[in-house]
Amino acid sequence: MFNFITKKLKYGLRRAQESKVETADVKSNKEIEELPITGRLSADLELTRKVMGTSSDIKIHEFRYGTNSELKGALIFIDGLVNSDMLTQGILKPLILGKNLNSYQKESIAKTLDTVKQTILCSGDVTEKHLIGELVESVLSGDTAFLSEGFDKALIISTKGWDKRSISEPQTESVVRGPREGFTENFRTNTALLRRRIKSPNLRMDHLTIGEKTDTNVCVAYIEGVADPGIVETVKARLKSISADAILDTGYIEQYIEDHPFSMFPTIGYSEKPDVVTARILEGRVAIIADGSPFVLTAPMLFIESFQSSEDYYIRPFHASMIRILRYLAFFISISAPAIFIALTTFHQELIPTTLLFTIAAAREGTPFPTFLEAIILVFSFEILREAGIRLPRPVGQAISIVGALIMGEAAVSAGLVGAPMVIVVAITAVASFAVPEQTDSAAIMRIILLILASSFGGFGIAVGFLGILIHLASLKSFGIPYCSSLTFNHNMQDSFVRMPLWAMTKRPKGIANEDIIRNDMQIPPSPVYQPPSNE
Amino acid sequence: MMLFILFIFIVIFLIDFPRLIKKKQFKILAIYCCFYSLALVLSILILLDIPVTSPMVLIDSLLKSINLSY
Amino acid sequence: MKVENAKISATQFMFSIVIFIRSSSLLSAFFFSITKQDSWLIVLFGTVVCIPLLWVYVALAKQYPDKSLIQINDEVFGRIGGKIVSVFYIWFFFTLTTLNLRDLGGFVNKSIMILTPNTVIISIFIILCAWSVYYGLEVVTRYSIVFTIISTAILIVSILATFNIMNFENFLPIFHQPVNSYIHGTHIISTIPFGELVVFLMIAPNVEGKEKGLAKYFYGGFFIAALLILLVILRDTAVLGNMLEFLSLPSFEALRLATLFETISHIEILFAVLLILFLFFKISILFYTSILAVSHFFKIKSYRPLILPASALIVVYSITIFENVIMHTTISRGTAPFFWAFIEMILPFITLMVSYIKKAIKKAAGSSKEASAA
Repeated sequence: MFNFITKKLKYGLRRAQESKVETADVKSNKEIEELPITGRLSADLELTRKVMGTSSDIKIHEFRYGTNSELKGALIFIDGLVNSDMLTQGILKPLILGKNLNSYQKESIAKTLDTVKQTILCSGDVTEKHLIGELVESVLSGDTAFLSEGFDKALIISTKGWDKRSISEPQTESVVRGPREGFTENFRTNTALLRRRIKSPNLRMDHLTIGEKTDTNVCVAYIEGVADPGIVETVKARLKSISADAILDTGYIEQYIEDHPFSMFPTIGYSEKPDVVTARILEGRVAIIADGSPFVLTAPMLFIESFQSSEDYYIRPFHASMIRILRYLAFFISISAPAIFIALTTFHQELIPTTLLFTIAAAREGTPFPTFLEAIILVFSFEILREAGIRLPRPVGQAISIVGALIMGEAAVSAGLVGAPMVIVVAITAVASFAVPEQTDSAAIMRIILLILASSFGGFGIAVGFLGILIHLASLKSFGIPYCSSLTFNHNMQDSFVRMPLWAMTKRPKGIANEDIIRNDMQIPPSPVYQPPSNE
Repeated sequence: MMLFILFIFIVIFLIDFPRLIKKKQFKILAIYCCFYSLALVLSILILLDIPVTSPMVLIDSLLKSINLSY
Repeated sequence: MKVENAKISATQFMFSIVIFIRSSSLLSAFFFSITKQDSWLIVLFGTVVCIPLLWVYVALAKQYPDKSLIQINDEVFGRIGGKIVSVFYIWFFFTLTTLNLRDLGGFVNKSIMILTPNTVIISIFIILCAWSVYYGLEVVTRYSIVFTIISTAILIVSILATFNIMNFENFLPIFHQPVNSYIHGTHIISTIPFGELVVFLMIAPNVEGKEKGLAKYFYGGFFIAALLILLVILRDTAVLGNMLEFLSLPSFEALRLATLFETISHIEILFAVLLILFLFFKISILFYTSILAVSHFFKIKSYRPLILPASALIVVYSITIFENVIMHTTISRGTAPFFWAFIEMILPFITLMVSYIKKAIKKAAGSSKEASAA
């Protein structure tokens, strides 16, 4: 206790001293950033250097230009963030070689600036800045600042051009049929991918910057007139309320703004594919794009969204519906198969057909561990294998899977450490859990909870576990929309358990989109106009 | 067994009671205490094997005495 | 002052009624031993008897659209009279919760968890219900539609699975019981599952679009539920025949005999798990209404702090309420229908009549005033 107080006191004293030193010294960075650009080139550059330090990638290039090279100027930029072609061809070359400053340069400094801006610089985006801080900020985001002796403002020329990954097929949501483009880490590319798909002028992309240190560009995309204004406002308000020093991925944003931080279920959707995000925006959802992340968040999210794949809408409805039902089944298996197996073999043997019971009993003969322990060991080793497989480079990953499959499966069974039926059940569970990728995390947790309940209370435990999950699901909300609303038939059912034909999905989901509900106005079913070949 | 039951009751007490005091919802608190003490007393009676006559049985004998029964 | 602000849709309300009654099919043993193979007839009689009863409920809900049953009592009988009537209802709601919990405990004990003590099962279950009640009405009624669909699907599957062992001669002879037992059976069925619908008068003010016609949904839910119960009873009678009257869980035994594809027998565990889901629904609604009733009774702002002590009380009450199953069955068959009838039928009827009379008096007073003014 005393220690704590003395520490606090010391800290306070030190801080007081520090602040005294700084005020006694020149000025802190914060104060310099508030200063205006004076127009004396050497002084301005001195201040800029002070703020930005002596990093090797910050270039301050001083040069002379004008008719007889009698004007002094300087360019400030960050090496690697700017397009050097643009820099030489669009700025330096016209400035140094362009002689038509002649008539003005002595008369009026302001006119010179206008001339430079309007007739010399070959760039589409030139703005004026008055404060050192603004100048530094634009330089840090990849623009080039032009300062000159006598100008009391800086020209900021957009020269952003750094190396970026090109658009490629995303690794996470691969499809057989459908667009193969994926978002990249580049902010503008991502917004452009969306804008290219929705040509409506109502597509809004509202810009925000979040993160005190990273100043990450974040954009909220939605269609005005379709998205619920309340939801849009909530999203923006929650984004604005984030006060963190860094946003490195949209995953950060998700955790800062989600409704239920203590739930195992995700209440904000994400996708790496522009077509998926476009579809969700068109349903009235709000997308959140952040610089540096190829994953775009969409809100609000419903539980059934995890069971929808973009491909469902590109293939014909019958197979799509079948696959979707299979996904629900796979999810059910992936959370409950080990639990049901344990309940059957330890509590309700009479439920198993007699021959199967004998087979299982024979396979389990001589295994040393109780079924529960066996299940837990296998489920955990599967999780370990999965984790190891994801992180390793691909060639090593294959080795892991071979080792895993052979040693965990075959050898463990033949050595009599675990029973073969258990290995089969866990393997089915593992395969099934990949059918619903978005819920893999929550499924892993639920599986273990159900496993423990089943091994202590049998069938009753499973029922209790499922009821718990159902209650929890029912209590969740994503931006005011009940999370499981389609699951409980309180919603449009055209796109839930089965995927109705596109022409039958006439309305946008209720609750998410409240205006402009009608999605299509097709004849049901569509009957293409058929013109019989005329006889004449 | 007794200790276990008491433990459960203490846990229940700790979950709600401080919050109610903090919020100064004394009306709820009074009702809360009624429920709580009734449950506590009944459970102690059960644990001590003292027979408790349930209202259902009372009404049953009452109705039987006035012959309102099948 | 409103304790619950959540709104539920009218369809949700309707299917809540369905699943509420459907989950009571466990209790069919109460009248199977009385009316034997004619039990399906008393379902029909019970339905007919309950139509006027439902009319009373709907009329009450219509008379006071924004008030729950407890608040209606205060309005109709005045402050003190209303409280006295409300005490009956609150006791009734708590007892129903307790009885259903005990039924569930007994059922789980008999069907899947033979060695686990009843109290443990009841305690686990009440914690679940408390959790759901904590989130409020929306969560309590959310799964009504899904559960109805599942229960109907299971019913159809079970009828198909037992079709080959059904013997339709089991229904014969019809109308061969003494008249008294028909009256007795009808009395039981109209009070024990059907009349319990009085609890929905606590929820009715929170139904969306109730102005347009709560009656349609109230009756609709009731008739669907009655039809489902009728099917269950027909199936059990056709499968079990004479054995019916000796079994304490007829539906369960009927399914025990079912076989699917030669290999899958004993699907009754599946049925048991589903029945647990449905009973969870019923108990949550009962628990919710009990606590809501208490909070309306004392006019407090939030019922949530009361959940935990109330669940402790319910667990303790469920241990003390009956000494054993035989006592439970005798009382449920013998005297329970009478005092349940008092609470479910006579009290609401009196409430309705008094409210009508009051209204008439007010109107008369109003018109006489008008007349005197003229």
